[in-house]
Amino acid sequence: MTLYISIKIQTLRNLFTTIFIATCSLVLAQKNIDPTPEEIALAVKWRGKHPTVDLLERNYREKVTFFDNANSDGVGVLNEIKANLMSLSKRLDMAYSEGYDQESAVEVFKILHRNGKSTRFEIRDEYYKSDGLFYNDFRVKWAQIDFPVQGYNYLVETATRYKDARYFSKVYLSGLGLRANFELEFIIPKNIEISLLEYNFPENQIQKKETIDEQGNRHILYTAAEILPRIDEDDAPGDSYLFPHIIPVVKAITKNGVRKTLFENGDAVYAWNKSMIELTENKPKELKPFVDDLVKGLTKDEDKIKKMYYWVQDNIRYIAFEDGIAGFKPDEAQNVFNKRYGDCKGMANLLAEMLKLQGYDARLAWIGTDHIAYKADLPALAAFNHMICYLKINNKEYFLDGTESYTGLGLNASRIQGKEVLVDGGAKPLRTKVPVSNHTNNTSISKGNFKVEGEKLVGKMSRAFDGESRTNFFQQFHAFANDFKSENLTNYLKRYDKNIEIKDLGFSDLNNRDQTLKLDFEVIASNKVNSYEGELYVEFPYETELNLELLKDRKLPFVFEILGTSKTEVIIENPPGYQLVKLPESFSVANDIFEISVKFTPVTSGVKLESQYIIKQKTLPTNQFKNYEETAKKYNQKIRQTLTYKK
Amino acid sequence: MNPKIKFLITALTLIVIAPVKAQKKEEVRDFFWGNSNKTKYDTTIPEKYKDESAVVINRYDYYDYSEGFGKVKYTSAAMRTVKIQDAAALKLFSEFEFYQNFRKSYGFFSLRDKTLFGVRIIKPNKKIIEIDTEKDSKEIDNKKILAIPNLEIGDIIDYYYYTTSSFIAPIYHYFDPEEETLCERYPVLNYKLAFNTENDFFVNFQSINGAPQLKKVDTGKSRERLYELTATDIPKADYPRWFYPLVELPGYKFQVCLAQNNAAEDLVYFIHSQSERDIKSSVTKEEIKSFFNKRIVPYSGSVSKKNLNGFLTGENDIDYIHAIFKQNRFKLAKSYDTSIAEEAKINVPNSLYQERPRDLEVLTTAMRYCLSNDIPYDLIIGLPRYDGKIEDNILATNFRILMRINFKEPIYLSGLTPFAVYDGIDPILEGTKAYIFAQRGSGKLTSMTEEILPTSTAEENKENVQIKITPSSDLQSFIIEARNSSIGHLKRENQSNTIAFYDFLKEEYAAAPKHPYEDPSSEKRKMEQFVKEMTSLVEKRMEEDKKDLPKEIGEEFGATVLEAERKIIESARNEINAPFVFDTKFKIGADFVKNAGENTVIEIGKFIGSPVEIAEKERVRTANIYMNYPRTFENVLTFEIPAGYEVKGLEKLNKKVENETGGFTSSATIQGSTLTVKTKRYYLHNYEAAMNWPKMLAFLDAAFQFSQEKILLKKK
Repeated sequence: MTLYISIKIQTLRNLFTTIFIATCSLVLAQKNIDPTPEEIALAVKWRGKHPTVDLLERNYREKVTFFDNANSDGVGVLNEIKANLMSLSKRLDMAYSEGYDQESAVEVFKILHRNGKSTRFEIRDEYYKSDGLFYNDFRVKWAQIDFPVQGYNYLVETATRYKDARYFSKVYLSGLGLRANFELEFIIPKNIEISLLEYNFPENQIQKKETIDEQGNRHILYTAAEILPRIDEDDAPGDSYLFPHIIPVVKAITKNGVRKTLFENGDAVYAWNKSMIELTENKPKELKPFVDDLVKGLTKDEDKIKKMYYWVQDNIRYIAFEDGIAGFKPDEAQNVFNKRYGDCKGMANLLAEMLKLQGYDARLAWIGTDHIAYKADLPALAAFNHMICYLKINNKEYFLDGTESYTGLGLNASRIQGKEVLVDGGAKPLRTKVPVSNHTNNTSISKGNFKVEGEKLVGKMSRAFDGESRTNFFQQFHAFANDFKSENLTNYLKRYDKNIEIKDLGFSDLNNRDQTLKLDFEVIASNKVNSYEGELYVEFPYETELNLELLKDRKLPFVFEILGTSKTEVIIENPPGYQLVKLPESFSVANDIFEISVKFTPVTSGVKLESQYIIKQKTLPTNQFKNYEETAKKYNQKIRQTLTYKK
Repeated sequence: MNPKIKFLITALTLIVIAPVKAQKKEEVRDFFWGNSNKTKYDTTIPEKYKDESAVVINRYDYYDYSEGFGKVKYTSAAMRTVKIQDAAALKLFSEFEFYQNFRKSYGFFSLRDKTLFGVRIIKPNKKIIEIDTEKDSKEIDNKKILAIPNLEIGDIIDYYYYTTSSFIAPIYHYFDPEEETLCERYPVLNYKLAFNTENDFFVNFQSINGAPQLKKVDTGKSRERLYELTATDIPKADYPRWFYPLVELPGYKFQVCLAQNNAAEDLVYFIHSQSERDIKSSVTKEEIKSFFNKRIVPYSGSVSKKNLNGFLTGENDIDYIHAIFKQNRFKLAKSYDTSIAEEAKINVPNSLYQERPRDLEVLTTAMRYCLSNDIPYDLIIGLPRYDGKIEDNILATNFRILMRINFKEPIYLSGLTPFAVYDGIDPILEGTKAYIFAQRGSGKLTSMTEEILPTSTAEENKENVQIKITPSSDLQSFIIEARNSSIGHLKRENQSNTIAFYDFLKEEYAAAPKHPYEDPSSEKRKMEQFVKEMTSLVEKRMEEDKKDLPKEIGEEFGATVLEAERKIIESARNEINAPFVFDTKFKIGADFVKNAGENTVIEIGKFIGSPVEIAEKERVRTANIYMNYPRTFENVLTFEIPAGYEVKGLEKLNKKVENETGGFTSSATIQGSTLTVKTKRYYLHNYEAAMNWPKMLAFLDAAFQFSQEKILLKKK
């Protein structure tokens, strides 16, 4: 038998996980699959031109062929791709994939050596979990492929067929790698009306040519010498704001002389969405006893609405299923109520039904969050990715998002602000817009007064949160388990500084989303007073420096979480018997996007420090990165100034 | 353990089979929720647990081992009844994923498993809602996911899984050992561990650290043996810094082994009782001797000069031992090369292909050399400190094997690592009681004694860092040049963190009698291809490592590192006492600067790197303190004082706190334009009793306080 002795083995840093795979030791005919000297030179050339790009998608050919789908009485589409994938870096390991769902099928998925011979890659077909969804019908065909040396290349070929072109939402011109010698062709039969909407096309880089063949079919060809790859970075705008893509709007098909409209305009999309919500069979009677009991004793509309809205926020868990029709049809209100979970549609539907039971005119409404760039009248399913409950009462509009938590009535989450809303209006939709919150609505204000006591600064602080700042605080605080809440809250208030001790913490109701959240506490700060030969150098006890690495190596615009104002106002009393030598330097930068400042003012008792960090525009464009970074650096320098006292 | 984790772990051992029969489902349901489970419990949560996130009202772990019709049937089951008390717990218990059916092969026999999963919710008004886990779950590839409907804060979720595996009964088979503390994330009010075995199944079981004892339950069936351990009111787990849970907390260790005949009993890596009727709860020294006598056998071939050609650097016996290690370490290097290449799908030439040498191989070869040359040596059987005392150990797999060659200065050999000629005593065995066996002529273990293994000292495990700081003229950035030199266990740790695999291979191959890439002509093309692809892989890795270095240093240093480079000066892999040395040079911004008008305050203490920060909740400690080894960290920091400035505040840099647990000292002097600061933090032992925690805090606090100290650069 094999003797097993458990002896700890040190592993080398950076060693691959050692999975011993029994690989075939046959020598592959390397000759025809290794890159030629010309190909290596080509890879070197492209790498020199684009030093951060690892993958070249050479001779990229994509063909989108629409066809009359007799089975579905509509328009189908076949999406075919062929390219030569080449590694521009010394080595490259990547997953090559093609996604599909219930409405589509991957018919061809090939990865071949450069000489056309087949590869040994295992092609897998797996469920693909999409962010934020508990279950969906997305699947992916994929293979893990490796490029052992620079210039190594493969031929890839895929073909995906969609039964209904309305689910074929968009075609990105950019991909994982840099696409060179790029061609994208749309073939539209003469009996099908489709318009192609172009987004984020770089100026003068993409050529378009339309021809009509002998059968009368339209051929629309987009060509480009090169198209830069898509980049994936956190806190960036959605891809639809950034990268070139086309949305095919499938307007109509004519068969046997009869023209059948599909998504001819925005109203058609509304009608389709409306037909989906009509499939929902709500049974409000089942909810009535509960809802009546919930609002019992309340007389004011606002109180009743809050009660129901907050109940949904607090008691219905966001768990989303998006498979087939479930991606569009809301779950029945009674189901969501009984299960105590649902997705945005289910939660909006439950809330609407609850409100209706109390006599309010609540409607379902479709919206595209700030993740997608499109307007609500876009005649495509891509226009919307979210559903809320719309309520208008006494001429005041409310946009009730059941998926939010700890959001007060009248507050709207940042992600839906400024977005157009399509409200269920019966035969015709109502169109409106979620108001944009202002940075003055979302505030975090800290105030304090400190004295020098020996080598410590001792003082009282009060902090107040309003708007989305308060919502964010609540969401984070309540996500902690009960037994960690207190410790985490204290650490947060200490700003994770071990030199700070928090005492006598008092706070307002940590569940009330309708009033300012207030926290008052005493601060004892060590190591903030430095004494050198009779001089005192006093640091500010309660200030946070800005992250100087926020934008490091970043290529895409940065999206701030919320528009908001964070202000700190601290007075440090002059130590008895000492005089301030010089007031530290103030500093301020203000523009349309941010306002960042530090101000020192002499007051009767000592010196007042006021710092503020205001975000007025959510997106920081790349051309403002340098400005922001220099401002942040300067802010940190100024905030690090000490107050110098002499006897 | 949270349910997701538990189920994922379970999932690793499951396999696919036909749909489970309804009858079986009912049986299992009844086993946990029906009349078969006689355990009744109160669902009232004690006042002291009202503020917990959740409370486990009932935890029941069950194992069953049986054999029949040539097949082994193994059941692993668990039930948790949990009161949900906050949103965090609600979220955690809202979603489950489980592998109902899974197929997996275990060597020459394949397991056939099936899992049954049940969930019900008990509402505060006692109403019970049972979830249809079949209907309500969704299948994704080989697993199922289930969102629990109608679950709210205040509810009790009551769930179980029941996994049965069956496989063709081999002559012997040992199941994975279980070593667990009774406590988990949440307090447990009632706990029961039960297992059921039959003939041919040997059980080793031991309650540890005051956990209740296992009791036999009369089932009325002669073949079956049912055992139970029950406990109540188990507080939630609290794992402080420097802590070995299995040494301190109540828990249990157990393992089950199937051995169908006497011959099989001798083959298994398991020390079993005389009869499967008896639970084995202790292992004697004699049993250990007898056990290893059959399992540690010296290499049967000869160990000659010829065999070690190219690795031998002298004629002394110790040179032969070094050569044995170097030869095996060379094989280890080739095995790394092989595994990295295979992972990267690079074809490995036959001449290079190498499987990882077995840990014991190097020892058995050294044994043969010693036996052939009448060099006395001992075999040492030890137990890692985190596993408790050796006399309490019942699990054979926990033992560690060392060899001590009794030269004038004895040397200790253990497994192979890339970092040393031989590895000495693993720190995790230092200071522990071990059994010493002599092995002479016949290769049989003879005499047996007990010894406490030597413990290294804080001076022997030392890191010394010389840091030169050069400020920019505006004092807003600093160039830092550090030379890190380490010995002892810290050397090994630093080597492990610093030496990349390509550095190891390069050095190892360069020192080998023949570079393994110099291939016989028959594989010339294959080798060329391999070298080309491997070189490309290494170059890519080096590029990535270089890119990641500033971040890595920044995290260690506690500042934003702008640019960085690192160079290994002396890998010291062949000389056990030579220090491992590497240089780092990097630049930071104004992170440690406070501007004070024309003067500048420098946080000089922060230049020695991030200190040990003791959180407020850590200050009170009742658990004993377990560290891996005694150690010393020395820093010598030189700071170039910019022209036109003088330094104030040196007095705060002089600290001295020393006691019987360790200490922290620091001093500062100025010579010319150079400020020199020396610090030393040391831990004298690998263990301290909890009562010594305040003494450790005293020097840890002093070290932290030093890190907060500043100097003033005052304009002259």
